[in-house]
Amino acid sequence: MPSGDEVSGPSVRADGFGLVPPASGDEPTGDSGMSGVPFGDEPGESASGGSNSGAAAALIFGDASEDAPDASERKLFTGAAPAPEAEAPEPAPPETPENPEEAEEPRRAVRTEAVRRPDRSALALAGTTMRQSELTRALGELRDRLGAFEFVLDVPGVEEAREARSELRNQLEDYVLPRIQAVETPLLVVLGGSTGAGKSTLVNTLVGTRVSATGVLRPTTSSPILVCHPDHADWFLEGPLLPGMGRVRGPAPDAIAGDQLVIIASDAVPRGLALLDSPDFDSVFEDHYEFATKLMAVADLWLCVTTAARYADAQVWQMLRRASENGATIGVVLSRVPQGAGAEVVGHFGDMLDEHGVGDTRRFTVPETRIEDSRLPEEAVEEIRGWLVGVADNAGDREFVVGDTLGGVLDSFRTRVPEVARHVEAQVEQRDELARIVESSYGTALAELDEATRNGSLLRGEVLARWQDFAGTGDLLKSLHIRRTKSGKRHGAARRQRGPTRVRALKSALRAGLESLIVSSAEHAAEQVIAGWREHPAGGPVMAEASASLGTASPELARRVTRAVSAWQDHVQDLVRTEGVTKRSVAKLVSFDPEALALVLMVGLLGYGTSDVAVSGNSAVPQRLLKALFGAESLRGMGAKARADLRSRIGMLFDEEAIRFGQALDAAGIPDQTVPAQLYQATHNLEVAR
Amino acid sequence: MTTSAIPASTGGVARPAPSAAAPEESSAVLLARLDALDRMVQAGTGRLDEPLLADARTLLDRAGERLRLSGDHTVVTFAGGTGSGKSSLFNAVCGLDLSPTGVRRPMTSKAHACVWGLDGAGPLLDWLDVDKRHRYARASALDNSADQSLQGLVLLDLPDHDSIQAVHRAEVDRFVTIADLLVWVVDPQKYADAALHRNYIVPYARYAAVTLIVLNQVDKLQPGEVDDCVADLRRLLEAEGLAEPRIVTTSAVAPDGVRNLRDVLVATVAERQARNARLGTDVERLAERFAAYRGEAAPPSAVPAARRTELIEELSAAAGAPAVAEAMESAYELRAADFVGWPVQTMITRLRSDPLRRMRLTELREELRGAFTGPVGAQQGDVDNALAGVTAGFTDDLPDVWARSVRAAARTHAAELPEDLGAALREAVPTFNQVPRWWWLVKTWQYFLVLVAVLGVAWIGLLVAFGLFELGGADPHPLLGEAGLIPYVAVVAICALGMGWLTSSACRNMVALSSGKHGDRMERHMREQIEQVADHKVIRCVADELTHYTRFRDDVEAARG
Repeated sequence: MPSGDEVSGPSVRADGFGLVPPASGDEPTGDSGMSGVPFGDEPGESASGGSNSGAAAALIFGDASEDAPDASERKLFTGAAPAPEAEAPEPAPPETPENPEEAEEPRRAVRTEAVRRPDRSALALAGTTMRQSELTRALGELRDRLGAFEFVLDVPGVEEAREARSELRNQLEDYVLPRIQAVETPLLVVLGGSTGAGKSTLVNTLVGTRVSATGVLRPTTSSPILVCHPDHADWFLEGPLLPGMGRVRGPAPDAIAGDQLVIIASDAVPRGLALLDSPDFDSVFEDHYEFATKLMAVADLWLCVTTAARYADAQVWQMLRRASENGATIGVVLSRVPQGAGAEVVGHFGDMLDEHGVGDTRRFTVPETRIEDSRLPEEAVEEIRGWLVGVADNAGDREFVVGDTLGGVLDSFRTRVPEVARHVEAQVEQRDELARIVESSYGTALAELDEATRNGSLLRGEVLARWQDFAGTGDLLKSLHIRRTKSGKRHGAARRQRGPTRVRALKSALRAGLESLIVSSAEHAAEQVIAGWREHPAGGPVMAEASASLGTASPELARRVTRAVSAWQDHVQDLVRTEGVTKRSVAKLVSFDPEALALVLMVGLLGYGTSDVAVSGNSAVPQRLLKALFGAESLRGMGAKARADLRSRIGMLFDEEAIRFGQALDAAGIPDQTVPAQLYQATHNLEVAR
Repeated sequence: MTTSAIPASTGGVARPAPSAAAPEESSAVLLARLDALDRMVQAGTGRLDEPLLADARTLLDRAGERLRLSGDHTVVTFAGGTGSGKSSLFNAVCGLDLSPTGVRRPMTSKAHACVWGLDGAGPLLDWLDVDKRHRYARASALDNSADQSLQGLVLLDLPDHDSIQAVHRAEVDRFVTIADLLVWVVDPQKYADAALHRNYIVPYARYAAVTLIVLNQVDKLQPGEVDDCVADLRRLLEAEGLAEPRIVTTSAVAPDGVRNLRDVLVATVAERQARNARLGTDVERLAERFAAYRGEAAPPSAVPAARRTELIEELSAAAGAPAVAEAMESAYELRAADFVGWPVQTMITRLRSDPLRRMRLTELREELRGAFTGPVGAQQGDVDNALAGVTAGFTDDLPDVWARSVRAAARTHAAELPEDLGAALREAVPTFNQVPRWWWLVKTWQYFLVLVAVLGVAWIGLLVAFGLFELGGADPHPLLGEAGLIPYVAVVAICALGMGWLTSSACRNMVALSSGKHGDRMERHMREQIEQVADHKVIRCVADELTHYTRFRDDVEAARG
């Protein structure tokens, strides 16, 4: 386990190479971060640069004070590479010139660390495979979790979140998973940078032959070109790295599809090295930018090439920041430096690098010179070549860089995945807000409806006219019969006919009134929801997905309401029949027609005489009549039951209406709260597996 | 506003052909379009998206300001990426080292201005908000023929737009919005940069007429490469929708390297068209955005007749007009029964057992009789549903916002409608409340008949008493004593009773007839009243909104030019 609290890959690696005297000028300053490493190297030989390098060293080489699992993890990064052992059979002090020609300081510095590794890795061979499979599983799980949702809502920052998510996935897919399984492959150096910075020219020069097209037209390179030693060409051609990209064996044909990786085998490239000329990241072609970021993520070493004319471009710094956040190991090349102005530009550029927190990267300068046969003069790239070859030749250095980058990337997951998860949480939050709008709209509608069925606002227009007709003509009184006599029948046939007609008319008027009230409330609620969603920043995409009919009540509502209201009327009638036990004193005298009295009860319930229908002397006629018939107690019971029944029926109708909005939310594919939890869990699992 | 494509191979510049319209004429056209835009903004307030309206208001303000300020000056901006050589170019055109140049990036951080011809330039520069320290003038003191030809030019050297200094970008954005001629300075290294193309070239693609692309630093290319480079740049620009891009090549270090650029500037300044062309394109671009709210199909000018009829039907139902009429008929008949009914029969009914009396609720009967209070309001739910229906159908063809605003217009008075409908119905009721005179006659007649019957019965009683039982003495009055009169008197009394009953039923039929007639008349009357309410409170509002929309459509067309 890395013991350092913030492990930052790039700076570490830079330090690893940072001992080249001319450029970085970093003199070894001690091994402050490596105090836990019990190897007896002199401080001056170890990588310098403070806690970062120490943490990285711990990450890769483990810590003596820790136990077997840590050792096995070390093993993971170094793999089963026998090369170091072959090269450095015993952990000899680095000062001992094994290879006398190896005069370069940085190589020595790196090697020093590299040679320590074998004796540690031997401790934990048994655990390695298990560890590795566990880690692979944890990474696979993380990848799947990251792919299992979509950022649907346009909340602030969602673009970044989408990008971060796909970057994470791609990095897992393209780089981390393949890298973990194949450690001994060559060091992949990716040259990224601005258009016109001379990436291809640099590659051509380094390889010594024209492998990548150069020219004055921008952008020049559209397909990434990978140059490696013939021995490794097959691995790159079939290998698991960048599984999503097509492969073409070079030399590059002039016209190839953009998403093809051109692989060129060249003897000029050392065995341990592969150079990748990536497209620019700042030209008008969006796909170039995508490639550039994709390739940046798979780089063991990302060499950012920029020019004296554009080193202040925002895009350059954005990419550098991104690379360092993603745990890449970075080197920078400032090319096309005009003759004579070199010192000022390089100085300013150096200041800017420091200012942006990438000051300890390895820096190179290439002057603006004439280009011949797509190549720079050899002396312009000598420094870069020397450095690259140095790293590549030595398996220990190479593994250090590879492992450090991998460690840096895995470390970056610790912050990047939770960051994505937080964005998912923001989406979940938005979804909840949308759901709350639905809830409150229908809640308000229900409350208003409750009020409207209580304050008498329903008793207007037709309902009132029918009630007047029913009550005023005496039909109401005729529904009460004197017991023992059948006196009602004495009246004319015409009267008898009209009685039930009026009852029926009032009943259907009541039903129609209630129905239209409920339907219009439901319409209103739906409109409110849509209006609320429209106002809400997250509402747009949801409504784009949903059908247009969402803004109005559902087409079946009218039918359902009719059913519900008639069911309620029947229920009230049953109540009157079964519970409306007349007072004993009255029961001896009169019997009644339950249908008519149910209507009287409904009119009373709906608030007759409570508000604007209050007419002098006429208040509460239904209540008084019913009270006289049933007694106050029983009437209250019936009233409460009837009202509760109505409310629950309307509530049910509204619930069904509101479900449609829930479905729209589901259909929009907004992640729910399980997604962020899973992401946190997957990150945790990864940490455990490491 | 014609542009001539410059042949890339020559790198030279053909002067834009002189426009047919004089500056004054094009100003008039521009003003008309700005007026249309102003009306669109007014019509759109509260209806269209606020950001769009805000943009339109900003443009109207800006255009007003710019038109008020010197029309003799042409504001030209040099903008481009860092290191493209804007300042070197600026200095080369000015002929003086006014703007600092160097190798550090970014170099220029504040806009520099150089003016040829000072008259009226001061307020213009104030409006452009150029720092006084960075203003320079090429006035007549430095007179030479070349400067004379650039009379009226306001040249601005802007900071870069792509460096890490975010404030530079804001500065560029500000100037690019108000410049008359946009000059984009690119160099062979950076001409395909996304930052320039995505942020400026593509959004400003419409401004081809007032856009000039300068490929600077051609001295860095081999002679043969220049043409390739220009051709590639042209292809790129055309692909981005910049029609017939004007490209000139320059070199600030080569002798006479900025001739081409200077020629274009001279032509543009002499024409004095760039300002109007630029503002015209601004209006056009905004009008395009407004056009999203302009449906293809012309809207109906009013609510279709069928919808209106439906609305009136539904509002009648909401107010319960037929039910009110029926209730009123019942009330009328009930009242008529008080007058024309046969009192004897009423009395008999009263004597029968009454459930209310037994429940000690007798007064309820009177209250129930008083239930006929006339129409009160209408069902809000029904009204809402009716209003939702009135715009159905023809709003489907309208763009969303307008469909919404038309629907909202229909509902302007939704809350007052129930009351209004109730009031309208009450207007129609009074015909029912009057009591016809013949009811009184009949009533009098009925009571006369009752009196006759009562008298008859009394007479018979007396006859019986006196005649049969000789109560009144031996010799009563012949009319009282003659028992033989009994049958006659009985016949009279029975006839009176019969006639009363007959009168009552005959009158009942008459009442029923006239109540039906009254009911029909009342329903007609109510309908008329409801029609009035519907027209006033619904139909007219919808028609007004449709008129707004129609005008808006015309204005969009006018603003698009």
